[in-house]
Amino acid sequence: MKSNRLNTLTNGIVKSNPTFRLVLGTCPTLAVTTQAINGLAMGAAVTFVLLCSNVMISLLKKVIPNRVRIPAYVVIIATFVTVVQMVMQKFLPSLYDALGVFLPLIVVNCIILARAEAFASCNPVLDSALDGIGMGVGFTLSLTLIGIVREVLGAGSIFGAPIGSLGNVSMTIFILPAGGFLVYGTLMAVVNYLMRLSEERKINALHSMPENDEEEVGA
Amino acid sequence: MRKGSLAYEIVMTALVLVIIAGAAGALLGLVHHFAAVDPEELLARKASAVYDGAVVRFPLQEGISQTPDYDKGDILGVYVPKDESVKDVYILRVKGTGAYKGSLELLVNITGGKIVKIAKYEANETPGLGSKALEESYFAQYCNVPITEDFMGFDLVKTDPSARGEVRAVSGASKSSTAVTNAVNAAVLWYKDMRAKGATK
Repeated sequence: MKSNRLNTLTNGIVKSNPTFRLVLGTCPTLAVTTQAINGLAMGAAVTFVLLCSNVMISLLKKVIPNRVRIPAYVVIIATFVTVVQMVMQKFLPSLYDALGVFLPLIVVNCIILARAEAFASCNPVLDSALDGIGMGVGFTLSLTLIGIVREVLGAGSIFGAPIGSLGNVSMTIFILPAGGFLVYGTLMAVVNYLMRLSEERKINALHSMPENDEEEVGA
Repeated sequence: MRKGSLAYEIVMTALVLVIIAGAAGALLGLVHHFAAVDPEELLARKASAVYDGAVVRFPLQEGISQTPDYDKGDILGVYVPKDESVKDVYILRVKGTGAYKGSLELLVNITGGKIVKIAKYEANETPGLGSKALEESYFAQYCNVPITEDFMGFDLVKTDPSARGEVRAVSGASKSSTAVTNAVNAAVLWYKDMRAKGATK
């Protein structure tokens, strides 16, 4: 049971990473990752909404009538998004300005709706919370990674701090939408390659064990 | 109304949705109570980028609330220091058209007949390109030019500035540079108009 819960948590971070593996929520991914800090803030906002909405929907799964579940989910998600928006506007105005329209657009973020429909609506509260955190952290890490790569290549800085004189030779394309696609695609290829390597290693390990046994038996 | 009948289901569905929406509204109201942003407070915080001190809305007098005969920019608000002993300091929130994404808004501090500081109020220019026209080093070109009677506003040039009031555009960001110039010129024209009308009084 415990390892199951751990799996639920890590599932969203590695195996079913929403950005690189499920390819969900690509619109905000490409739009806000011009700077690492924006990616981090967007990820944090999504994580909060994901956690709260997963818990709430899991709690209310017996109450919400099946026929109107999507409107009910949207109301719940929109509530938490508005909370994030109001709090951010008050306490983090510069990030609020930077994220712009993509903050309210979290309401229709497909990661959140997908987890509500596919996981929270048919799992216990604790598992739903863990799934929300896992998926949120996975999304945050991916966005921050894309943001770091784009900021370093495109602006010669990292989290707003310039790296030496790299700013003089920066390639602006990486901050523009085209560069977003380039970085996203390349990182997705790398992540999937690494995933396949580790999977093959696992399969090999699984296959080699019985073979060894047979050899021993034969010998 | 029997359990399982259509009417029962409709009423229950509606009831659940209403309860969820009501709870959501209550939660939002609570958060709003703690996190509401007062527009004047927001302005005061943003104004601190160009003026060190509290500001109040300039009592707009008849006829000088707008920039006359100028269609490339607009005055959205005028503020003066709260401390009334500080004279000839005007903080203007101005809008300039022609930006990459429509228009942008700046805060301009005109002190003693010169622009002393400019800051971005609201702009979403492309990072790395248009954003270079919103940096301190670019804004500095507009500062400390005496706004005299014969001064007709800033001109954008693509070479090194040779005359007073010429500003070198940021290469690759001519639209953003134009919008900034439009916004600053709106402030300049407003200031000249205000001073001319104030002088006749």
